Amino acid sequence: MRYVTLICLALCALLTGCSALPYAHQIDKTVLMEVLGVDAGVGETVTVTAASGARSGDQDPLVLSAQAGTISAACADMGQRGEDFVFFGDVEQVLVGEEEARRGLEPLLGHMARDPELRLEAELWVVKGTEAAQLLLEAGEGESLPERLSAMSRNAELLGGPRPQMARGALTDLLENGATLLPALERREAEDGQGAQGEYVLEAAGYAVIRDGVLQGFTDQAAAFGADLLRGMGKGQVLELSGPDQGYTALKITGVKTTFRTVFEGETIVGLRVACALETQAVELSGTAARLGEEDRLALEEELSRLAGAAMEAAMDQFQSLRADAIHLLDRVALAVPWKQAAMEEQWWQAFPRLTLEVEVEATVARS
Amino acid sequence: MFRRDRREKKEEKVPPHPRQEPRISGPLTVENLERVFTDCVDFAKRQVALGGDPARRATLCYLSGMVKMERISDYILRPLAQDEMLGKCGEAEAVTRIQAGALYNLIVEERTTADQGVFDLINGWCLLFFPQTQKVLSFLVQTEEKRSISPSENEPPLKGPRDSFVESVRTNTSILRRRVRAPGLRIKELLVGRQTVTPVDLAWIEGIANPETVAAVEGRLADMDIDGLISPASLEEYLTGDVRTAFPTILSTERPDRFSAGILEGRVGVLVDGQPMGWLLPAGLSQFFRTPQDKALSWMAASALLVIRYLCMLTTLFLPALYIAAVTFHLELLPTRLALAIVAAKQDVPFTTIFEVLMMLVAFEVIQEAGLRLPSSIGQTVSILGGLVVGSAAVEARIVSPVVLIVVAAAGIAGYTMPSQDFAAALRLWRFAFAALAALAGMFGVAMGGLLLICHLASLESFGVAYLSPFAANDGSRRAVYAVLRRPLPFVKLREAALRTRNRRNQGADPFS
Repeated sequence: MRYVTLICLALCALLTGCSALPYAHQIDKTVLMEVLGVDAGVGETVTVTAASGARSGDQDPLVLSAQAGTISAACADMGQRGEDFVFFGDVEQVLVGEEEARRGLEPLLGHMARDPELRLEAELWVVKGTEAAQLLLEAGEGESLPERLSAMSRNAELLGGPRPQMARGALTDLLENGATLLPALERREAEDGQGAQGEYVLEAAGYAVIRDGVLQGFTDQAAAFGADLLRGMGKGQVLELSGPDQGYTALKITGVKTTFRTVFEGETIVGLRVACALETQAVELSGTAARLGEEDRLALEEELSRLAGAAMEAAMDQFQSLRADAIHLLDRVALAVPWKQAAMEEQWWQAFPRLTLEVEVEATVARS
Repeated sequence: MFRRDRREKKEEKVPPHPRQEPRISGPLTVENLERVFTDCVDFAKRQVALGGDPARRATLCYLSGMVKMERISDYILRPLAQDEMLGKCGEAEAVTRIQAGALYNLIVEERTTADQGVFDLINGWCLLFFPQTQKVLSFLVQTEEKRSISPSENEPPLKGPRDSFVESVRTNTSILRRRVRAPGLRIKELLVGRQTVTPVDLAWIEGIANPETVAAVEGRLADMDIDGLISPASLEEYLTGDVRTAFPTILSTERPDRFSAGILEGRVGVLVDGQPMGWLLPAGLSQFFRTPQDKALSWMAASALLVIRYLCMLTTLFLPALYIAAVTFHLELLPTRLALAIVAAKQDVPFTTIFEVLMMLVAFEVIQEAGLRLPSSIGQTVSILGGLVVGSAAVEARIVSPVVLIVVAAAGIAGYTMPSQDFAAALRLWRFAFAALAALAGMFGVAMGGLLLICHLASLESFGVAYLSPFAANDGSRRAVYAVLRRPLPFVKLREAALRTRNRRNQGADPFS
């Protein structure tokens, strides 16, 4: 009787919804997709392309593509092709074509938030000037795109390139701040001396500025550097400066500290004073600068200050023109005057495009 | 048809098994003894002339092999033959003189019933019959042939005492007495087994051990009406009274130091003649993770080892199940690189992951069992052949994935860190159950299995002490951490609360305070 009761209770548990047991898949009959590309399709449709990483044996990476009205339908369509089960749970990089990004990222982020397989920890990239599918299909011919993207992501932290943004972070930024920065990728023809294996190279191309979930534009190289400095980042970047006597100098950024002060007229915020302490180390010198005398060093610091100031102003100009506070300036400024946070929040969106920026950079160059 | 069979089976009754009291009918005489020991080649009797007078005879009976011949010759026969006074006085006076020390034997008792006489013979006494007075004297002359005390093989000591229990219960009680010299140490003997009549000794410290526990253990032993107490399971299954679990609820040890420590903690010890081990009870889950070595190392090292043992317990229980669940149902749990490595390793293996893991788990048990059943030298060869040669050949032939081999081996090796083999065996059984549940329902199955295991453990108790104590049923005191870590001994001033000892303090003031 006791066992019968237990069995009945177990059956009741299954009837309450616990019966939705997971489905078994043999791992050797599963293809792990690592990169997902989302492009605008014909009309209102969306084209989704997925590429696996390196596969065991002599098998080439698998690239599948499908077009449908929604991302979910396209993914389901891809799952029905081929012999193996297509698994999207290992997607670590999501590429969004420029056209699709201009349509809006909301459907993609919504899908990533709701899909049980896709992870919000996947990194988002915007492909500048071309479709994500093109990168994925070309990568399927030999080069491993997932590994290249992972390397770019790692290098961004070590060498100070455009920082990758996780889907979770982008979603949070858009919900809280209305704007975010996503790293941009560009496919360029390979030039001699670039060491590319194919006919093209994949390079970081600054940031894509997203406002209200829609791509507003891309930063140029200087503005991307400026955006990093405004956020107190950029450590590890190498800057090339022309030195005296036609020589050149390579400086590696070893520290960035940026603080903000507000300028008020009455109760209205009218400007920002930015103080940036930029520490660098000379890593390569040529010409007469190779000795890096005291005068040369001071000249370099002056040049570096000018360059950094201009970059920050360029970044701020771009954000203001796009009306996108993509670097969370409000939060950073509010830290300086927390007692005025509420007032600033009220007037921020009106004041932001007209804010004046006074930049003061204190650059130091240390001998290596 | 099936129902009828079941009903018939249910109605099958066990016939009564009455105990005959007294066991041996009739008076205590030489003739009756000869009847009892008919066809017993080791039964021997001899006529002895008292004081050298052939007219005055007594009969000596003994079981050869059970007695030490030199003792009979020197302490009984020689004085009987040479003491002239025994020949001159009356038989009744001779008996009195013998009881007063005319014979040199240390222990002499007068016996009146056949039961006493028969069991004295079996236990290595000899009987001296006086025909005129019908008196019978019994002398303890048992042989002391036994295995010498040697280091424990199953609980090898690294630091600390190297002795271990032997098969003689009296030797074991002497080892215990030498360690626990308190006069309050009580050792009570009961005889268990209708056919084996095995002495079972109960040891505890009066004033420390909970009298209710002592009474409960004594009651259980007294209620054991079995044919023989030959194997450890004979004692454990009857003593625990709960056969629905694979987990041990009494702790067995071969180490006298551990046994003594348990007695000092307020536990009740049980020693059985013929078993080179002692049992301690009550015993909770945490006891099965501890070794005597823990108190030989520094508290930090011992704590680290304890934590490792707990982690190993989780590993041996859950690793194969988690592997099945992750690889078959929840790929998203695996980091991409690991998943790719598993895919590469699994290529061309014809079996499903579930079958692979279960097959390897069974193979692991088979190799282990084969190694145990054979002499140690051959057993090692089988282990090497089975583990290394067959294992690597199976991987190379793509019959099993190397990852599965690693998972099963890691789970198996983690199981070997358990100090108690009984506990490790229970974990091995549950490991199969978890693997099967993972194969059925992935992580949901593993979670359900975990829940079932916790419920099962929570339902167990050992002589009134909750098995999960101090993790649960701890009266609100948060002492679970003390089960996972070994505190510095000067800080452990109280005996375990769950044991409900009569005196909880176990040391004086803190020497460091």
